[in-house]
Amino acid sequence: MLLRLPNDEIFAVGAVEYIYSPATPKENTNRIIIPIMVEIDKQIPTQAVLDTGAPYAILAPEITQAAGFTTEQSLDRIVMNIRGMRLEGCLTRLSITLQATQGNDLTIDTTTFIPDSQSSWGEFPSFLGLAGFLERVRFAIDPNTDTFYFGSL
Amino acid sequence: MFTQQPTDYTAAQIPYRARYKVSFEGSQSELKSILLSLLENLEANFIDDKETIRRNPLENRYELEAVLNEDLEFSLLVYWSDDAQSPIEVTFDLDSPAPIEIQIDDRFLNPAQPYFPNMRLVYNFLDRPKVTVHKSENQLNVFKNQQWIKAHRQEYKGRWVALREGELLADANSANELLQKVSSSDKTLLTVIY
Repeated sequence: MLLRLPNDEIFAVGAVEYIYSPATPKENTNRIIIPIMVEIDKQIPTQAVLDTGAPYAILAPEITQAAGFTTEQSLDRIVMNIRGMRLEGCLTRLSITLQATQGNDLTIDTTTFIPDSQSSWGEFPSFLGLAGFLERVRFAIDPNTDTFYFGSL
Repeated sequence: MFTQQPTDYTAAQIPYRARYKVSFEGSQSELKSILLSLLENLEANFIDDKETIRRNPLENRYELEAVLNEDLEFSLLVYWSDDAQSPIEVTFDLDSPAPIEIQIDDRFLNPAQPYFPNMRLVYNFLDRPKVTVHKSENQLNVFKNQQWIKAHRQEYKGRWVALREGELLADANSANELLQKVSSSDKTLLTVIY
């Protein structure tokens, strides 16, 4: 069942059961991991970790390359300090779809950071940050059922 | 792989931009001459009247900055490598200070094509980023893949996996290795398991 606001407006257009597990090999703390679809020239389904402390969505380089990203599509070159690493990479705009198993999907055009190479990024997953991504959707979490709810503003 | 110098993340301003590129078969002097003719035709105002084309030593490239004024204002940055190799890859970045919905090809590509016939649009990010709701056509596939991950997470910890309809297609030590084993598609989930 999807959520509603007091005026009966729908809060969430979609919902999905999330995976609750560590996001990296060195972590013991569980994180919320949800299915997403990355789209540039091609659509690539993958998973991403919700990270309200992160700016932008940060996508694993190989995933974006599989979706068709090339450096000429970059908006800017930036440096970010992520998890103790100084990473250079590109900012670009692409579409990320939150995939639902109840209700509808939600596609968000978003500015995304793509580290230069998988060797510098390692085998980290992708992350969905607050700025530029989560701040643009409604979301709620039900830890009782491991459900992530999402909707448009 | 990259030649452009990175900017500080905190200083990054996300532009509303359209980018065009062209491979120019000719000399540097021919390119400069054609560029100046194009900008004259577009009635562009140069940012620096004294030196319309400058060399940027940090990026090893030539640059030209101008403002295109019609009813809307765009800043235009044109840049290309300063080496003598041909063809010369030329980039045109049209930036707007605010998001706009516009047929940018009508404003820029069409008038530019007589000067640069093989010019192409790389991207158009001039409009405001959108959020759209649409019917999910992949729910069963997503559900089955989630169930597979829950059931096999410990077994495949640290591995990249490719899943479709809740079935394992391949696994690998890295994303790169996985992509050599399977062809990516909109139905195949590619993810690392932790």
